[in-house]
Formats: sequence, C-alpha cells, structure tokens
Amino acid sequence: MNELKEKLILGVKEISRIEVSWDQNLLGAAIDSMSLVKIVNLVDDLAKEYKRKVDLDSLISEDTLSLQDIYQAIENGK
Amino acid sequence: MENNPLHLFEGKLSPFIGKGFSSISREVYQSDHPYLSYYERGKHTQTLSFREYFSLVGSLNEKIRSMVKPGDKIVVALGNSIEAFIAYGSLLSLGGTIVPVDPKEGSSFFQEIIRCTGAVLILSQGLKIDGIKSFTFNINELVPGVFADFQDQDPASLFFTSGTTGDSKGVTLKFSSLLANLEATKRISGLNSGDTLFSCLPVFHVNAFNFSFLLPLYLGTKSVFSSEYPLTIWKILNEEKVNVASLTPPVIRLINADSRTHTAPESLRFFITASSPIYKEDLRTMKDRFGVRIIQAYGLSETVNFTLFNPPDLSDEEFQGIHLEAPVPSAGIATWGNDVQLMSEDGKIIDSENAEGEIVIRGWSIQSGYFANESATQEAFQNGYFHSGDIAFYRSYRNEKFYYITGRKKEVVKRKGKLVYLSEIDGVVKSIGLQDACVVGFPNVHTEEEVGLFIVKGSTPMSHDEILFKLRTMLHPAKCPKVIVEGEQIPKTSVGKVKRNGLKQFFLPFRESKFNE
Repeated sequence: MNELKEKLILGVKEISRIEVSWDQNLLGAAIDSMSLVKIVNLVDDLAKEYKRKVDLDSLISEDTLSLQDIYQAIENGK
Repeated sequence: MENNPLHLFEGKLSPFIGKGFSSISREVYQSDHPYLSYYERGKHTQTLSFREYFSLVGSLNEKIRSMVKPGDKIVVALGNSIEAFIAYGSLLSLGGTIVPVDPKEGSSFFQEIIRCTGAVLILSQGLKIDGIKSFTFNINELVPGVFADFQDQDPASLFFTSGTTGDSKGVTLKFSSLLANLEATKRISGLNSGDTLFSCLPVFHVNAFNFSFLLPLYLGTKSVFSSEYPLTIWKILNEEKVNVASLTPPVIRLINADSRTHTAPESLRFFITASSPIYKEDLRTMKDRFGVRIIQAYGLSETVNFTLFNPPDLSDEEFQGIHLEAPVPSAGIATWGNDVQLMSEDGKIIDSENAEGEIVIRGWSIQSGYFANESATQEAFQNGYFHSGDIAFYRSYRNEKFYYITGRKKEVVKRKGKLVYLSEIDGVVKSIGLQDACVVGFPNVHTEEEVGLFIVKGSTPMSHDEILFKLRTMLHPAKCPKVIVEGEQIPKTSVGKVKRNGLKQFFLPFRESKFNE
C-alpha cells in the first residue's frame, strides 16, 4: 500500500498546492472548498482503483480529516 | 389588482405587512414543529422547534433588554452560528436595528462601523472592541423563558454593502420591506408551510438573512442551515427531505465538481441561485447529472433579496428557450411588490425588447436610504426609482418580461459576495507610479469575480513581483490584483475615460485560476 500512500500525498499536494503533513487536519488547513471537493473525488477514485469500500460521507463528517485517516479508511475498506 | 405594480404606490400597505409577524399564527410559533436544523462541518448538531427557538429568544431578551432601546443599532458579529439566529430574533422583537457583520473582519472595520452607526452594543462570541459594550453569549447559557413576539419596527436592519470601511454604505431596511420580500418570495417560488428549506450562505448577508432566518418564520416551515458548504450536502438534502435550497453560483460549482455518484432527493424541487450570474454550463450540468433545475434570481441588499426570480413552472421547452438559447441565462421576472424597468442614461424608460438599459426598481422591498449618507441616497434614487447600477435587456415570454443582466454600470467587482470598487484600487495603482495601467474585474469560478491589473508594455521598470508586493502592502487582500497582463494600449473613450470592459478579454484565460489571498 506504499503506492497508495504516495498517490494520496502527491494527489493532495497537487490539488491543494500546499504541503500537508501525514496527520495534519485538512479541514483546518488553508485549503479552499473547491480543493476539498477535489480531494474527496481523489479519495473516491483511489478507493475504486484499490477496490475498497469507503463510507466517504462518514469520513468527511468527522471533525478532522487527515491523510492518515483517509489512508486507513481505504486500507481498512473491504 | 395585487399583480399590478401601480397598486403598490397608492400608499396602502396590505394588511399583513402592517401587522408584521403577529399576523402569523401563534399556534405555529408555539408548536413543536422544527424551525431550525443546524449543521456544522456537515454534521448535525442541533434542532430547535419554533417553541424552543422563541423561548431562547425570550431568554436572550431578558439578558439584553436593559441595553437595547427601540431604534438602537446593535452590531451582530456571530457569523453563521446558531446564536446568530437567536440574536436576530431577539433584536427584532426588542425593536433594535440589526447591524449584521462578518466576525472575521478586522478591528478597524468594527471601529468604523460602530463610529458610523452609533451602535450601542455588539453581540459576539468573545469579541472585545474598544468603546462599546460587548455581550458574549452561548446557546447553552440561555434558559428557556419568556416568549417573545416580533413587532413591526422601522428600521429593522442595517446591512453594509462593502467589507471595507472606505466604501461601506449602510442599507437601511424597514421591517415592512423585509416582509414584502418574504411575501414576494412565497408567491413566485410556490413555497408553503410544508416545505423544508436549505442554505449554507452567510446569514449576515441579506440573502440568507431573509431566506434562512426570516422566511421559515414567515411560512412556519423548517430551515436546514449549514454553517459552511458541507461536503456531505447530498446526504443532508436527502436526510432532511429538502424541497428548495438557496445557493450561489460558486456553491453550485462545488456541487457540480463533486464527481461521486449522488442521487437528488425526490423532494427537491429546485435550487435558487443569486448574488452573481450563473453560467449556462452550470445549469446544464446540474440538470443532466442530477435532474435538478436551477432557478436564477436577482436582488441587492438595497432591494432586500429577490427582485427578479424565474418562475419554477417553466416547461422544458420554455427553459431551453429562455435560458439556454439566450446570450446568458435570464435573471427572471419582477417579483410581487416590485416595479422593475430599464432606464436610459437620460432617464427615459426603455420599453423595447433586446435594448439595454439600467435596471431601476421601485416598490415595497426597496431600502429607505443609505444610512447617514444623503449624497449616496440621492444618487441612487432618481426619476422616482432606485438605480441598481446593473445593465440588462429584456425579452417577452408568456406575456412576462424576462430580464437578462449583461454588466454593471458601476465599476465594481463582486468578489465572494462583497463589492470591490475598481476606482479605489486604480488610485492606489497610480500612487505607486503606474500611470499607464488600470485594474479590471474578470469572472473567476472560485471567487465569482477577481481583480486583474493591465499595464501598457514598457511603461514601468518594475517587475510584476515588485508591483504585486507593493500593492499587497497597501491594499486589503480582497482588493489586491491577482494577476498582471501587459498589452499595447488602454482603450479610452473620446473624453479620455478608460473603457475597462475592452480589457476584460485579456483576463478570460484566468477564469479558472485559483489565486492565493
């Protein structure tokens, strides 16, 4: 899953144009609404690519959303 | 008779307006029917019934009654919090004039607003401003108490049209104006007491103030409100069985950009969008992907909310002809209580299709004047009408005039819902030695409109970075040009006035660019 990690980090960086650390809360970072929508699209695409089921609505309803949270949600998705 | 705009000017107010909210059934206000379902970051946090809401309003009344006399100006800097809804209700019932402001504004803005309005109190969540009493409250501190009722106060609210002190104009809205626009919205939209409304727009601006705070009180219906754009918007719309949502074009674009599979709830009749023009591609995408129609409306703080509104009952053929085959989607027909006309530069009413003129309006929803600014009031009210500054033409369909907005007479940019005055920025640009340059507003999908700077080639030794650095030290980030374009010359009229619209084309490649503040 290191490849997934890499795709996630690079994808979020490309969308948001900022460096975010692994456990940083994306919702608290200076990321605009359109970029957040694109990040959710990216997560949806990655989940499909890795054939994992992720409850995205639950994931993005939490108070925090970090790369680590996203990675774990995809990794744990059946 | 009611549809005849001339009827409005006979000095008679319809019975419901004179009585204000007291004409609405007290049974609704004392009921357990939900008034407000509140979301924060996409998560539901609280639901208040009408009874609970008015109990909290009554409780706040008891706490601040000694500090608020009828007619007092009260600054409300509570953002999109649930407390803002309670504060607005309390101040209307105590007869105070609400001055809603964005709590994210700087202290100099607050100082200027307080100086200008003579406000006696600021309601916030911890904001301390020199020279004014401050009352901080949290919903959990309010103990249900006295039931309060609205009174027909005049004026009811004071909205500032610009986010910075220099150009701010306070729009004074009578309670009767707010009510008239609620009735107008009800009539054109077909909304009724069984409907559920949704919005996530700033409730300290007139749009959500009327749609999310007042309209549900007026209709006795439920307001679903999210403090910001929720990434889970479709989940909320489905779970709450929303019937109508009021959004803006940038929010519509966020929804359209979400590539996941979503299903619109069967309950959803349409999205209303206002505040800036919607693009045809947005209408098409929303319809094709989700089967949801976007109803474009038009209004200003000065006219409360919806002066123009598209009838929701257009057939698909009519929708195609009126919106998708026209140069731009229509902003709609005049709503009840508004006499809308197009006026030429020399003050004549234009009454022929496809001829451009300035939108002028008279009627019940119009502001009573700019606060403490007689010259601005006189300038805006001429020839018996309020002058909007927006240029439009009309076409007739179904025996109605459908208006199409094509530009602005006033040289302003509407950025993230706030007005930015280009002439002011031009002055700063000139002050750093750029004589052959001018600022231009251009459409941008992220901020509605953005500010660009056009410079004549070879007219300055400064680099683009140096210019932007200097401007950033002198201008609010919202006003600072985001991109510089160089060209051969600045088009001017025969009397030497810059033709700004002629430069817009140079900035169109940046329509989708995202700029840092």
